Amino acid sequence: MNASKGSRTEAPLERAMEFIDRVENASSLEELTSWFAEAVEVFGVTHWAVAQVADSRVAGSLRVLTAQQPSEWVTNYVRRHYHKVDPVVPELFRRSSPFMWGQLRRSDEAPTVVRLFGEIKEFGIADGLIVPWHGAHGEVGCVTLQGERLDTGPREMATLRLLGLYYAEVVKDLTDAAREEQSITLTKRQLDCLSWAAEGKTDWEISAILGISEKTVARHFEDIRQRLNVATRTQALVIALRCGWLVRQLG
Amino acid sequence: MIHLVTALNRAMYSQQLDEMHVQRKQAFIDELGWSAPQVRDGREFDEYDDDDAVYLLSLGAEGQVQASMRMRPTIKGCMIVDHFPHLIAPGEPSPIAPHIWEGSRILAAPGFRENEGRMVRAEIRIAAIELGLMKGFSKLIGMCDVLLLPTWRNNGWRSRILGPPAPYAEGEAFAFISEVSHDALAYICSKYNVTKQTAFELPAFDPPGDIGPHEWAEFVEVAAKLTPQQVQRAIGAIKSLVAQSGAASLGAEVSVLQGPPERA
Repeated sequence: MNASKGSRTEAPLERAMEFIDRVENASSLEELTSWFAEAVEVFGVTHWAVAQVADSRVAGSLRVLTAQQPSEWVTNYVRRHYHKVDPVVPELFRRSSPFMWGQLRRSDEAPTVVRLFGEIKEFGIADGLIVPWHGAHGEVGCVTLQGERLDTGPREMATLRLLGLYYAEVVKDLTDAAREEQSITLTKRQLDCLSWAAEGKTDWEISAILGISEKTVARHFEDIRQRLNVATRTQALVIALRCGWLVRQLG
Repeated sequence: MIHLVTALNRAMYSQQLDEMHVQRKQAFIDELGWSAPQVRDGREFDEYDDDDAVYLLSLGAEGQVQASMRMRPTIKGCMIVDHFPHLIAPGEPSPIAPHIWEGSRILAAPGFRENEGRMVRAEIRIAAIELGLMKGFSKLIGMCDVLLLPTWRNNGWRSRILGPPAPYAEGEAFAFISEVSHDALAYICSKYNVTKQTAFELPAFDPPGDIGPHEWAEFVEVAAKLTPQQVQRAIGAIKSLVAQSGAASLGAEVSVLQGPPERA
């Protein structure tokens, strides 16, 4: 990113306003996300995610509503149930102001927490801003905003927080609407296949694990693609994560 | 029902206004840690609590304050322009204009902040638009803490954010401008299934003598069911009754309100 150095203080705020002015008109998650990407890149944000850890009915569940992150990292986080040990999660119930997650490191961390932070580093994920999200319908979650060169001036942080919260709310609306519209579910077997694929297994490996033929595995994936109306397995995986299906399955 | 408390009918609401200032001190200073405003005797005031302020009060059955907001014409002084001008982006027109009023100190009492107070808070926002249609303003501006964005976004006001947020007191806030029109009113009323007028303005009135909370509530409850003209006539009747009999109680005269012949 080679943003104009001279107008560094004005331009990001203008981009942010542009996003805010049109955010309610987003017709799809893809459109919204491309607008968000434009708005936050000038603040040095390269990666982000919106995750929900509780809603008014269920506490302790995890939904990754959207993530601009290495997909292996997201599935790894979900598969290892890191939300149960991640020190960020309890903070979301205590705080409403944003914080850098690097500040939560302590000398007496449990081994799983040490491993979590070790893996974050391995995946090349930079320290970032956690914006606690207390949604309009009782959701508790956060927006994480990461980048090697994050702009952390007070005005910039305030703006990122507003952008992040707007993004989270509209993402939630769009995914809820899409889910209701399609009211799709996958079968237990289809979810089995998807969750093993999330761990990087091939069709042959999945067939061996589940004790079914490789052909049947391929047919499951074909059905999944049709039901979710997507072209690739990765897209199917993203939808499954967003809807919280895979968490239940992996749990 | 939301009471519109103006400089003219303020005498009828002295107890409720006092309660509102106590609640403001508890919420803004004790809970949110604001440091700027003045505190007198456990009550919070600022320079905008003057005769130009119209208070919107949601009152319970015994006249207790459930939620409140302050509205003022921006040409009589504007808090955002005076204290938070950086919340308005450079290209935006000045909010100081005859058709713009400012809402501030919006507050729900404990017990009305969660779902149980949803309608009470919505009525305050509906009444603000009704006030605009009554007083002739077409936009209202205000400030909101960023942390409240999720609920603010769905609050039934059709709003636009005026500029990037910035730190204030203990948090971060943004300024917004909302539409005040018959359309905007229809929109928020359908969202909350409200079919009747929400705002109620008692005509200018100096209460005769002391009023107990119960008498007060009884009087207002009856008055609210009448048209402004009927209330005006009834108040005239009460005043002449008081003048004739020397009675110094309002409660005894409530019956005057109850059976006016013109109540069609």
